[in-house]
Amino acid sequence: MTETDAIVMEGISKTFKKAQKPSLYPTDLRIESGSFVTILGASGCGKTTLLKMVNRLYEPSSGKILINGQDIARIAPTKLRRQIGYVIQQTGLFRHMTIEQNVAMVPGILGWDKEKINRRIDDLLNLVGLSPSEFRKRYPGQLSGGQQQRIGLARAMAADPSIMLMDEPFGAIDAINRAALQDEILRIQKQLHKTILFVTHDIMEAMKLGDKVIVMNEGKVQQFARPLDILRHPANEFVRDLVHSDDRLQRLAFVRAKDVMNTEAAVPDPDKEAPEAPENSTLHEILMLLLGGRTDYVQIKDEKNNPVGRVTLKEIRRA
Amino acid sequence: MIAYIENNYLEVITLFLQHIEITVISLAIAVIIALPLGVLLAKNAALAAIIMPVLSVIYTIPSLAMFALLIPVVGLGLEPAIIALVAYSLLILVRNVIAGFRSIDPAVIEAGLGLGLSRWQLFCKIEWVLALPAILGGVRIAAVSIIGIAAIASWINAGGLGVILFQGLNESNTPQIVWGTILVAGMALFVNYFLSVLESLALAKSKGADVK
Ligand SMILES: Nc1ncnc2c1ncn2[C@@H]1O[C@H](COP(=O)(O)OP(=O)(O)OP(=O)(O)O)[C@@H](O)[C@H]1O
Ligand SMILES: [Mg+2]
Repeated sequence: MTETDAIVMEGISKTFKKAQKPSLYPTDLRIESGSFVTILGASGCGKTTLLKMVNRLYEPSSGKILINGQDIARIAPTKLRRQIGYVIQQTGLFRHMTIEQNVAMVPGILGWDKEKINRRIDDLLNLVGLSPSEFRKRYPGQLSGGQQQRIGLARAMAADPSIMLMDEPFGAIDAINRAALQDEILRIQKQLHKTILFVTHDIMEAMKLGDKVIVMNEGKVQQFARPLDILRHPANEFVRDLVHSDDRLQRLAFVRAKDVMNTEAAVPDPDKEAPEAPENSTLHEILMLLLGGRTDYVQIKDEKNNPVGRVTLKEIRRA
Repeated sequence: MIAYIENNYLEVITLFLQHIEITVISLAIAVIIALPLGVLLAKNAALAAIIMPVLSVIYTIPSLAMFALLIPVVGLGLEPAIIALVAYSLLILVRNVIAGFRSIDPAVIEAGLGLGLSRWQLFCKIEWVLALPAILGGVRIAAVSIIGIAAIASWINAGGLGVILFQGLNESNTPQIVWGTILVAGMALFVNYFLSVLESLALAKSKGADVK
């Protein structure tokens, strides 16, 4: 146990009552504080089971989980859950309450004063990209699916938890809004340094969002590694089949600029107007920029907008 | 027709109030029993499988037979009437309470628990508001049935508007029979209307609307 681990799982497993076999076989995992970890796997492989043991919606059949060094079995479930944000695909918004009442739920229970709750609601709505004046008094039924999911996110973050659990949060949202929400959650994570465990069965989403990816199959973790490592060094046959793609263009969608960029040529040429892209962009996106621009490279920038490297066709070919 | 009321208005008013009294007391007792019972059964399917058939059987006993059965136990008067009326309305009420709580989207419960609400907070802040329209629907149907069956309870000296009806029948007094019928039906219609307004307000509230 190092101090930088937000979540440590030691031999946790789960066998449901009357089940033939475990939904999760004994598993050890260390989730670094401030990291964005995606959990990838087919339906029924145990992603939700793994996630729900972290906030004790399920109790493990064996093993233990430490959060910031503390055994969660010794923390009252309600207290534990108020420190962990939880977002689910169906949102579970309280439809009889306004948006502000939904978001204020946990702060209210925690007994914050009115003034503080009010400011918090405005901050959170701004954070998730919804105008407070327009949305505070509305009801969930008056929002689009994407907007509802943003509120689900705001509500989960209300008491500023350091850990967020997200179970296929964007699974029911159309492709365009989904991409926007993915960028949004990446931005929020970079800004607030939350530790995020994010379940998905979309490999693109897992690779795009995760600093590291947990690949699961049939109740077992197959590999836990950075996206690029999973791509280049799949741990076994299952992972290889999962990430293997004859479609070169699709493969590029799994690789991020920051993992392959040439950092020696970080400074932009003043006389050329090279297209720019954030370091989390996929090579797929970079290739599009290259094709559309007039330079032979794309300038990569970090979240503070500092130039950190370049990607040319050479890097893309190697990926 | 008018003559009957002119000559008997004091007695009619007394019986009318008595009918309201029987109805209100029976309904109140039934609701007080049905709410916790329904909540319990909504979360415990095994228990529900035992209790619901019992309530159904009670519901099928004809009202005259039920009153006759109660006479040796509690005698005549208000008491057996109220016991019978409570017993009848339990099925409707409990069934609707269960339906109300079971109709809540499981994702809402999961999200509430996931946020760190206790079971009790979940109940007070979320569940009962969402279950209320169905519960009020049950209260409405139960109230209307109680008003009807209470008329028969005057047969065991419980009083109420049934007295007018039974007297009218005995004496073949047609205006009296008509008045008895109008009053019972009128009361039932009014209560039905009033409670259906409450029900639709509760429904609007549970779906997200500003209801004052
Ligand atoms: N409450 C439960 N009781 C019994 N079995 C369960 C329960 N929840 C899940 N399971 C079983 O455990 C296994 C893993 O389920 P889990 O919900 O974790 O899968 P998942 O990876 O989240 O799938 P999906 O992508 O469909 O959400 C499945 O075989 C499922 O049937
Ligand atoms: Mg799942």
